[in-house]
Amino acid sequence: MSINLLSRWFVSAVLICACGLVRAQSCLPPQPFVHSFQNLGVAALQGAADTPCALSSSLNAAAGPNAAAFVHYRRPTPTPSVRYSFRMDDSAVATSLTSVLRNVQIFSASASSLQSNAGFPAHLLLVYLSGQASTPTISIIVACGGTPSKAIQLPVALPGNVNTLRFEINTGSGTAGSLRYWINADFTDAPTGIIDNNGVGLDNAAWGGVIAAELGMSSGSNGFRTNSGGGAIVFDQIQTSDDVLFWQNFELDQQ
Amino acid sequence: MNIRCAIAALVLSLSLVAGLHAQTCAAPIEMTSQFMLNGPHTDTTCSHPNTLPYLANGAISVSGEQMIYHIALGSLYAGGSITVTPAANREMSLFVCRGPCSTYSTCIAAVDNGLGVATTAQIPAGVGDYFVVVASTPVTTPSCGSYTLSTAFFLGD
Repeated sequence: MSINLLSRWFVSAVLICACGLVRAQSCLPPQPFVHSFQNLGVAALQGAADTPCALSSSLNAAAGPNAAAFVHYRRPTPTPSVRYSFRMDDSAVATSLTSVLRNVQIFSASASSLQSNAGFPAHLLLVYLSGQASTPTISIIVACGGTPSKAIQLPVALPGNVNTLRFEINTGSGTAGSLRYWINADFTDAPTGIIDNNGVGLDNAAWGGVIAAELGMSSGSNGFRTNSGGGAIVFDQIQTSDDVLFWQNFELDQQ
Repeated sequence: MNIRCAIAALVLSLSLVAGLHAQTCAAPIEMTSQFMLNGPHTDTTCSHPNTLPYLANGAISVSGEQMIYHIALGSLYAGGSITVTPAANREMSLFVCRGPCSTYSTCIAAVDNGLGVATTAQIPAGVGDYFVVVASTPVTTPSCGSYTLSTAFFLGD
């Protein structure tokens, strides 16, 4: 074995050990949501060593409209069908969610093709947490094609402060486009609901497919930022059917 | 050793290479580094579309009128900032994002200091290719208005 080869082996061994040490002290990031964005907020991954991380997301009190704290990833190419699921604990902000005007985005799946003339141009799915009388509610908003195109928004009251939310996004023409969702149920169960434009289908092929997704708080309304600023929403059990690995150009984005 | 230029803050002109009111991802207004040539650039978001309704990985809703700029920074660039100063009765957000110019690009700055208040985004040193969005924040009616955009960049060697 040459000295050069030996030195390479030694360096590799040191690096492997170093990686092992880092991992031993950290929770496991929620693949593929491995990048974070924080602006006037905190997106903190937390958890015991070698266990899946939970995401604690909060916006600073009295922060401006661009405050955001989320994890995200981007695909090299869009996918027409994908599932996401996570458990959400909104206990810290629920008491202030007393109005539909107090809302914050908690999840989005971005479309690969911006539909500039559409009523819902940039996403296939947005999920907001909002007030609704005294019950926290999620608003599920999906893109729907046709002439004119539109957004379909469905409010779903949450039964408690800790809920498991699951979504299946299907992109395609006519009935091939749909959004199925589960509240506190497994993907193997019958869906809690299906959004398909009353059976006609979302006809959302023009949006291309899911190119990126983010989980955490952003786009908080003025009412939310004023009344819930500083309160954290905790997401855990974060899973997706999207098994995309690191896009080789992704690191250039310096997330 | 990295020696900074004698004049620390260099105001870059905003040469309107692509036409005064180009404001799309495909044809942004190019910000070129011609020192002290034109000085700060004044424009308005009025009559301009909401080209990018979301920014920062599709997470931040940006519903107001927008102007889109582009700046390419070389290896001699050693850090600096871009500042937008809105008219007294208007609010503007300033986004600095890495290409490609789209709703799901990752932004390195997303700042908004409130009604009539100047907002500054820091731009890290080194080679970079960014699109810069000046967006009206819809807290007034109308929300669009005039603004001044200026840059203070540093060079090293």
